[in-house]
Amino acid sequence: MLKLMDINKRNKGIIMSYVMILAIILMSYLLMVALRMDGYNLEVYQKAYIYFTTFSLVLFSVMIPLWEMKDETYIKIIFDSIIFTISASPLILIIFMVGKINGANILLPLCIQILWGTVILSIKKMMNSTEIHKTWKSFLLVIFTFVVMILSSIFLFFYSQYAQLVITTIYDKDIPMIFFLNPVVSLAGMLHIQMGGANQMGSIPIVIYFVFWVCVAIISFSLSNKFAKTPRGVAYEEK
Amino acid sequence: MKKVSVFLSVLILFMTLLIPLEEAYAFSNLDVSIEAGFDLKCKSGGINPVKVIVESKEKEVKGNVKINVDGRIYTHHVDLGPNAKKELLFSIPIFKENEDIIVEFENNGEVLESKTISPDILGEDTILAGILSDTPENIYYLEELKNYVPSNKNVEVINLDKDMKYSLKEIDNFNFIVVDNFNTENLLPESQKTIKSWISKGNSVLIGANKYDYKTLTGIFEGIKDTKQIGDGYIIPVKGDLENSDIEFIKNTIEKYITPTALSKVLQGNDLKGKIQDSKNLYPAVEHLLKSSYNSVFCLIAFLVIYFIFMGVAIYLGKNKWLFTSVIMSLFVLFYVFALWGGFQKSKVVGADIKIYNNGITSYSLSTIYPYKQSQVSVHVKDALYIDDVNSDEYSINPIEQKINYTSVTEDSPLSFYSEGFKDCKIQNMKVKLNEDVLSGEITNILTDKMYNCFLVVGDTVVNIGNLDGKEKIDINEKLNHNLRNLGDYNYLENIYKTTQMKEYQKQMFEYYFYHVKDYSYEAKLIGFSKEDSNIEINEKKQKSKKLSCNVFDVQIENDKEKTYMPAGMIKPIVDYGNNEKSEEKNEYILEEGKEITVYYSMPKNTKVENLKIYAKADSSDIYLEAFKNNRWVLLTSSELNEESLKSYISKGIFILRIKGNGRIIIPQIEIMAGDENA
Repeated sequence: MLKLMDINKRNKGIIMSYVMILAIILMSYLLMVALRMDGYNLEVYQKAYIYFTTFSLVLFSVMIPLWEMKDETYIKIIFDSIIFTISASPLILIIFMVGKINGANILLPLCIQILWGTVILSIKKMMNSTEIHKTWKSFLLVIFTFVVMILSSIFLFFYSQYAQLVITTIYDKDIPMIFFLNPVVSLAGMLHIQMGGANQMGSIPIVIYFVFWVCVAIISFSLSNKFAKTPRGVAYEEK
Repeated sequence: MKKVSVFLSVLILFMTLLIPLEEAYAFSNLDVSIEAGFDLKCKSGGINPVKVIVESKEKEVKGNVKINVDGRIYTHHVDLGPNAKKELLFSIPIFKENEDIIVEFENNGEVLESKTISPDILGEDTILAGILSDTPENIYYLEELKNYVPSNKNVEVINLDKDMKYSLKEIDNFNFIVVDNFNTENLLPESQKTIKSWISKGNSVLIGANKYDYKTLTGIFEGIKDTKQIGDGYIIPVKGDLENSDIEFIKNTIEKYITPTALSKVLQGNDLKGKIQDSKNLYPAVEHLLKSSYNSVFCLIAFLVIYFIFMGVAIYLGKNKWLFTSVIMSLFVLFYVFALWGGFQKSKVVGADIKIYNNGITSYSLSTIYPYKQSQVSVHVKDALYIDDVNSDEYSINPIEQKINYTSVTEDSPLSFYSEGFKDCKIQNMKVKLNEDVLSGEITNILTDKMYNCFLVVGDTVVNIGNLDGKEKIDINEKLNHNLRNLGDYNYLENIYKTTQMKEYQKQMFEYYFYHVKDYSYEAKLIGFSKEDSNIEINEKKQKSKKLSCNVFDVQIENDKEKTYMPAGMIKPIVDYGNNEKSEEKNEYILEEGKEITVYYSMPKNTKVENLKIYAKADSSDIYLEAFKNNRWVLLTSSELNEESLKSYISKGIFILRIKGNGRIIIPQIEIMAGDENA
C-alpha cells in the first residue's frame, strides 16, 4: 500500500508547481476582481468555478506528459492521476467557501480529469515500452493532447458555423456526439449543469466520454504489456 | 386449507369494498362557519380577524383549513375527534374594498367542505371606535363624531368581542376604544397585555370612571384616578356618564389627549402594502451578509500557505516518499470538512431588519432562505405580528402558528418573506442635556453587540458618533449646527450619509426606516447598525441565521431650566394631502394650482408654548402659508409667534398650517420654547 503512495521527487515538483500556479491565479482573481464587486454576486463565483476547473484541466494536460514513469502498474497510474487531480481541489473548495455557493458535487468533474490523466499516462506507458525515440514520444503525446483538446474545440466551432447551429448550452442536442470525447467540452458542460445551466442530453455525453476513454486506457495499457514482451526481450533471451 | 383460503380472500375482498363507502360517508361530516371582522365588519388596508369554527359530527375529522383571500392562502392543520368543535382565529390582511373570503376544509388535496362569504369591508380611511361594554347600544351615539372629522372620512362604531382575543395588529385598526360597564379583570391576561401595548403605541382609551367604576377600574385599569400616560398613549378616566352622553364632551376629551400617532392614523392611515413592497429595498443589506469579507479570504490564503509549506516539507524529507501523497490527501479531506462546517451543503438564512426600541421592540424585517436539497420549507417566525411573502408563488401562511410554508422549493430561487414583530420589554432610558443649542451627555450602546456607524438625530441636526462597542458609553458635547434644516428628501438623506459615512447597504436600511416607519415621539433618535446571529426554526429544526439590524433608540432631551426647548424638526409634521392622496416624498411636496395641503403639528402635552418659530423654504414665490387662528384661516406673515398670539393659533394643542400655491415646498419645520402648563 505504501509503495502505491510513493511519488518521484520530480513528479512532486510538477504537482507543487501545478498547485502554485493555480493558487496564484485564483487568489489574484479573488482579491483583484471578485471581492471588489459591490454587493453579493453569486453568478461571479459560479462562473469562476467553471472557468477555474476548466483551466486546471488544461494546465493539467500540459503538465502531465512530463510525468516520470518507470514500470508502473495500472493501479499506480490511476492513483497518480488521482493525487495529481485532487491536489488542486482545496482551491476549488475555496471558491465555494468565498462565494457561498451551495453544495455541488466537486468529485464528479474531478473524475473526468482523473480519467483523462489516466489515459495520457497509459499512452505514455505504452510508448515507453516501444522503441520510439524520446523526442518522438513527447511529440506524439503533445500532438495527441493538442488534437483531442484544442483541435476538436476548433472544429466544433467550425462545425457550428457550417451547420449554422443555434447553441444554447454546452450539452446541446445539436452538437454531434463525437465532440464530447473532448474532455474540455464534457467537463465544461458538466460544470455548467452543476451551476444551473440547462441539460438537453442527460448523461449521454458523460457516458460516451467515460466508455471511450476507459477503453482507450485499457487498450493502451494492455498493448504496453504486450510490447514489453516483444522480440526485444526475446532477442535478449536468445543471446 | 383451500376452503379457508377462499373464505379469507372473500373476507378481504369484502372489507376492501367497505373502505370507499366509509370515505363517502365522511363527506357530510363537518360543519364550517365563518365570522369575519370586528362585529362582522372588516377594515381594508389592515389586518382583520377571521374566526373559523369547525364542527365534526359522528366521525373524527383531520385536515387543513384553507382560507383564500385574493390569491393569498392561509392554512392551519386541524385534528378533531368525533362530535368536537374547534375555533380558529386567523389574522388576515384585506387590501381591497370588495373581496370574498373563501374557506375550504381539505384533506390530502380533497376538498371536504367549502364556504364563501363577502364580508362588509369598510374603507381604508374609516375611523374606527371600539366599545367594550355590556350595554353597547347606549354608546353607539359615538357615530355622531362624523360631524367633527374631515369630510372625506367616516366614523364606524364597533362593538368589540367580550373576550378581546385580538392580536396587536388587529387592535391597531382602531383609533380609540371606550370601556364602560365592563369587567376589565375578566379579560385574559394576554388580552389585557395587548390593550396595554396598543395604548403605549400612542392610542387612547376612555374609561367610564362613573357608576360602573367597580367593574371598569379593575385589571390593568386598576387604581386609575386621573389621566394616566402609558408609553405614548393615554388612559382617560371619564367621571361623567358615558352612556348617552354629550358628543361634544367626548370630542373635546379625545382632542385634548390626541397623540401625534393617533392624529397620523386619522389623516394618513396605514401603509401596510407599501411596507411589504418596499421591503425589497432591504435586499442589498441581506445580500451583504453573504459576501465574504477580506478577513475570511486572508484566512483561507493562510491555510493555502500552510498547505504549500507542508508540501515543501514533504518534498524536502525525500526519504519518506509517501509523505507527500498523504499530505495531499489529508489536506483535501481537511478542506472538505472545513467547507462542510462553513455551510457548504446546508441551507442558509439571512435577514435584515429595522428595530425600533420604544415601549418594547418593534421590528420590520426581510428574511431570505437559500434552501439546499429541500423541497418543502416551513419557517416559524417567533414573536411575529404579521408575515407575508415577498417574491414567491407557491406558499401558504399559517398565522395561528406564525409559520410560512413553501411548497415546490427549487435551489435556484431563494425564498424571501417580510415579517413584523413586537416584543414587550423595558428599554433602558437615555438622557442628554440640551442647553442653548449645545448638546451634552452620555450615550450608551444598550446592546451587547457592537454597533457600527452610529449617529444621533436631534430635530434638524445629525451628530456623528461612530462605532460603539457593546455596552460602551460615550460622552458627547456638540453644538447643534442644524445641518438638516429645510432640506428635501434627497438632500436630507445625502447629508446624513455624508456625515456618517454609511455604507451602501446601511443607506438602504435607513431609507426604509425614513419612509416607512412612523415615529412621532418627541425625542432624539440614536441610530446604529449591528450584526447578530440568531436562531430561526426551519422544518422544525433550529437553524442559525445571520441578521443585519438598523437599531433606533429614543434619547430623551432634558432642558436645564424649566423651559422646554425643542429644536426644529423634533415635532414632526403630519401632512394631510387632501382627497385621500398619499405622497411619495416625505419632506417636500410639489403643489399644483388649486390644490392645498394641511400640516398639523401636535404640541407636547402638559406644556404651554411660549415661542414658536417656523422654518420654511419654497422653490417659487407663488406659495403662501396660512395658519389656523381663532377658527379661521389667516395668512401667516411672520415666521415667529409669541406668547400672546400663540393662544389663538394653537387650539387643543395642535398648530395647523395650510399651504397653497404652485411649486415645490419643503414641509415647514417648527421650533418651540415652552414652559410648564401648570406653572
